[in-house]
Amino acid sequence: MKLFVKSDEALLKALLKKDIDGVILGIHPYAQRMRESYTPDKLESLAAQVKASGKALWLSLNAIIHEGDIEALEYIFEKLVNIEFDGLLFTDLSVVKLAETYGLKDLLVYDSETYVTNSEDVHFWENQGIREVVGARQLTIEDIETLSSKATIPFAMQLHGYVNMFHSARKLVETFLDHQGESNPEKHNEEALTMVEKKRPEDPYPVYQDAFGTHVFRSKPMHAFNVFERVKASIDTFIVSTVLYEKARVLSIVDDLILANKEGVDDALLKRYTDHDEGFLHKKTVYKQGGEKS
Amino acid sequence: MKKPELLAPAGDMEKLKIALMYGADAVFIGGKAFSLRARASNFGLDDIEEAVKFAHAREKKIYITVNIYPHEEDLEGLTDYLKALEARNVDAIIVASHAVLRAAKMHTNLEVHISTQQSVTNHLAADFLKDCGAERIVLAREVSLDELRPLAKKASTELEVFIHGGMCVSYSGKCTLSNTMTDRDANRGGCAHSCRWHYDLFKDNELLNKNEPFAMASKDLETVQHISSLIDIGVDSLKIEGRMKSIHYIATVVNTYRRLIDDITENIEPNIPHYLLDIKKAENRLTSDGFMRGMTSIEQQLYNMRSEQPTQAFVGIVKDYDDASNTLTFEQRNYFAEGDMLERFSPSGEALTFQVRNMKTIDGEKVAVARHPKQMLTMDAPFEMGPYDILRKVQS
Repeated sequence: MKLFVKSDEALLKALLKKDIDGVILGIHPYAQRMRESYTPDKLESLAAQVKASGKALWLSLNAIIHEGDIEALEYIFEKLVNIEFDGLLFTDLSVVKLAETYGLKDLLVYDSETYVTNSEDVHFWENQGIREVVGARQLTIEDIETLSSKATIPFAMQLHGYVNMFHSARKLVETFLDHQGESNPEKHNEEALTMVEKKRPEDPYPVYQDAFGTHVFRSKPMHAFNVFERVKASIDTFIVSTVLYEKARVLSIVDDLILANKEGVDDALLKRYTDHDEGFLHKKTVYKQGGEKS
Repeated sequence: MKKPELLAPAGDMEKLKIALMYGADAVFIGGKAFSLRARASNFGLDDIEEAVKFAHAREKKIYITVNIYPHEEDLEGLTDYLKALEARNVDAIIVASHAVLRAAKMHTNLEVHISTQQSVTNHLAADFLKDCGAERIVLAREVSLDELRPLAKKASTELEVFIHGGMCVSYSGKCTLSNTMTDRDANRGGCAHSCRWHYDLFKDNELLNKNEPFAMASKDLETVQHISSLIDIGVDSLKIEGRMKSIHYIATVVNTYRRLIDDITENIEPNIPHYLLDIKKAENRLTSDGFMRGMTSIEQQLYNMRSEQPTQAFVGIVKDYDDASNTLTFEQRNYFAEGDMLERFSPSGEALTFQVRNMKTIDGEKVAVARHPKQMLTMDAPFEMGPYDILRKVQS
């Protein structure tokens, strides 16, 4: 199992010294829920640093692309062909068409966040000739094991960090504060606020607004240390999301993941994650199945 | 000028027939398996067969939603189900999952439409899905008219656009609020609409919502004023949302858009204020034009839970008319009384008012009030009426 960490420039130097397999950097302005993202020109120099360290580099281009973005995206692809990288994380299907045009299709890593939920989805993407597929965030550990066992191309999961559970194109914070008569509602953009539902006061959900709209996260970041051996035995790539963490915490998390990978997980390590939960790993979401199928 | 298809929802056979009678060119329905809207009264295969026969006899179409994102355990029976739909001559299936798209193309010749749950927002994504076998794309509700114009020029698939009904405030298919908060999978028919709940919004410990809860909910979509632009752009299908809505809602909304589309494509200047008033007769939620004019603002958000009451209440549906005695037989749907003023609303769009007189049970017993749901009653009719005509009470 390879370990990939979503990074920014501030973290990069320290991360490259650690025993990880690769880092993920965002492509500005079409990477979302990253700590920071960079223009192709800037990425060229950051890529050189990564390559000099012997680590792999994936780039993230995971925004939902609107029609008006296509021209700018083509410009980015023209630049990408000059950058040495090993994988391109994407969500929007337009990226497949452009990657095909620019000869980069075999570097694609599909991460829709919610759509890859069964092995036939993985086979669909295998037929497209892409490199790797990231499973949906809402998969349980059993789902992950099943999909991994049936996957015919590398299978990745994002299994550490804050899990996005809602993305609206609307500027919901700014609009609400405007509605309330706040004189400068946009001042709260890009700040990590929290929203709390009355019946669930123990769960403050981080929320922020940026150029892509409004993002709401699960109340606690997730970890997978309790099932680390099962994860290690099944998936090909373990992705660490680092958005909303302090820099120092990211580095300690990465150290713990490296430790877990080499020596296993002990109680002392687990105690460091009492402020995390396990996402959907043990939370099977209900679907009242039934009815005739043929 | 190309006349777009008017596509309506139906949660059961009665709604389906009403939608087609009141002017829909096609109806989308959910089967009992693999479909979202788990609480809608979905159709079994026999019902689907009946629906297809009813529609095809009127040169109309039936699309089946197969729009869940299946997990591994849901895949069992998928291929057989798709083959069963093909055998029943459905006109297309609406799918979200790549796995379902792949299965449909591998094992059947079904026409496939890509659901808005895929959140397609550009022509290249549409072209990719065409390469994979999709014939039509139901675009994301986040696409504005300004984005749609170039998109429609470049896309090689048919395009379908939502024109009316409820809206996800999240990009569709990308939300796990319901999964997280209620253990119900939104992408498998269990959405709890947690985005419509009330929240407190904090910056550190400071409460930012001072006078009312922080709300993210959207008003419903209503696009009467934009239909002309959508037709001009060349959109292939205009879609009304609401498989769980009442027959009154479906009849009223479908018929309003039917007449509006016909006016525009027949070069008749549409009476927009009139159509806006007509649609309000069924609408009981606040509406806006969503993303049609670009990024949303306060105008598109729902910051209080106040509902607008429809101006006319649905009180009955006509089953028969006897022109010898000028008597109509109808099925009661809501309370009304002798002497009340009713409006007869027919598929032609014609609305005529009359006063309730001489109301009786089927056995001839006089009744002063119609109070029992689905009771069959008769009353005098001052003009001819036909099956599927709707009776609405004119509110004083």
